[in-house]
Amino acid sequence: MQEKTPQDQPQGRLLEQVDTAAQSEEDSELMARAASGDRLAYDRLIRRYYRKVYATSYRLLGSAEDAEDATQEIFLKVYKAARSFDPNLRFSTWLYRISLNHCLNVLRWRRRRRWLSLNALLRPQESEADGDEYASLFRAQVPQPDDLLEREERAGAVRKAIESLPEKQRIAIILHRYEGMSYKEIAEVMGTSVASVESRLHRAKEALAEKLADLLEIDLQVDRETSGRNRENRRKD
Amino acid sequence: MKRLGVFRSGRTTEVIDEMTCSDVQRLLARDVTLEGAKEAQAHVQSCTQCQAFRDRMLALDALLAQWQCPEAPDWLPAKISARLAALETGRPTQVPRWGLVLERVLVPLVVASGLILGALLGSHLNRLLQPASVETAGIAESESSLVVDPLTGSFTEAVENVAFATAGGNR
Repeated sequence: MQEKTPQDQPQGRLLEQVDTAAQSEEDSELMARAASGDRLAYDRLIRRYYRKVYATSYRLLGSAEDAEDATQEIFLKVYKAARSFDPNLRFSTWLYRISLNHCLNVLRWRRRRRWLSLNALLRPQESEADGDEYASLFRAQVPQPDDLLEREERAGAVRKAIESLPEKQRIAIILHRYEGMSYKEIAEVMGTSVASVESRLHRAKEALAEKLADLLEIDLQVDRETSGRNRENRRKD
Repeated sequence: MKRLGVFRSGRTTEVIDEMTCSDVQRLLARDVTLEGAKEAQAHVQSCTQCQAFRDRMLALDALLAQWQCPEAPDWLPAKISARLAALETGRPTQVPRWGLVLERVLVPLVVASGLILGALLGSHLNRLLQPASVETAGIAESESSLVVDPLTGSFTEAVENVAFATAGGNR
């Protein structure tokens, strides 16, 4: 796909880019102040980014509790490494890099200790991600409204499908689909090329479409029926 | 669908080749709305295979949106600040270099010497316990064998008691 020139872009997006650039500069300034011990400056950065860090951690680690812990640890790490921040790099890129590394370390550590512990039985979210049936059995006993249950099941299926992707594809799809990052930003965070990000995303989407084929087929069937009915109604009118 | 806008032999634009389904599907996978890609949009309108692919991508996008992230708790920034404050007042922010050296050298040294000491102690204990174990095994055992009687010429079974010699040899 051709890269769009500034002339091709709508005005709103141009303004958005100007905003992002200004914010990036401000972030770098705040980080420089934080490196020299200005805690208020760092507090502003925390408030600005904690939701994003939390969301990424949640998507990668799969539980709210782990995401809370990870967010705290990540901001502590960033503060400790404040002096090594390169002002030429965007703060958000650097922050995401640290966040990803932290979450991946947590996942590796979790994988190593899994065979030793009974965690799979005790924590429903993790066990379900492993294809464990205990969690779904446990949840099935709790009465819930049908649509809520269905929505939860579908969300669970999506999470499971994403978690089963290879690590790099998983990161790419999370950053792109849920964090709204551009290919260029993802490439910077992952330390790779834009072409490689594009190919990872393409493969990830193909794999997800395959893994979620049953649910997609149901949705497409519903869409077809709805559009058929609408067409018929229009013809009658 | 033709790909336009490529310059050749001095002309401003010229038709070069056709946009294939795989090109279009690659674009659809990147951005399902095909914003700004007019050729691809036109291709989709005339190609049922690409329409099906687009519908699939749209449905996938909607399905992915169903995995929602809970709101980050409001207390998180305050908690991080408190932990930072504790970190600053509780201990120096940077570990001194000599501390790191000690940590990197001393810890492996202590672990290695512990292992060596354990092995030495184990072998020593093993040596101490060895005689006792032989002593406890000093049980009289019967052993039978066939002996030819020189007078009758018949075979008789001779049973003799065999006592295992112990270290002391007095059993």
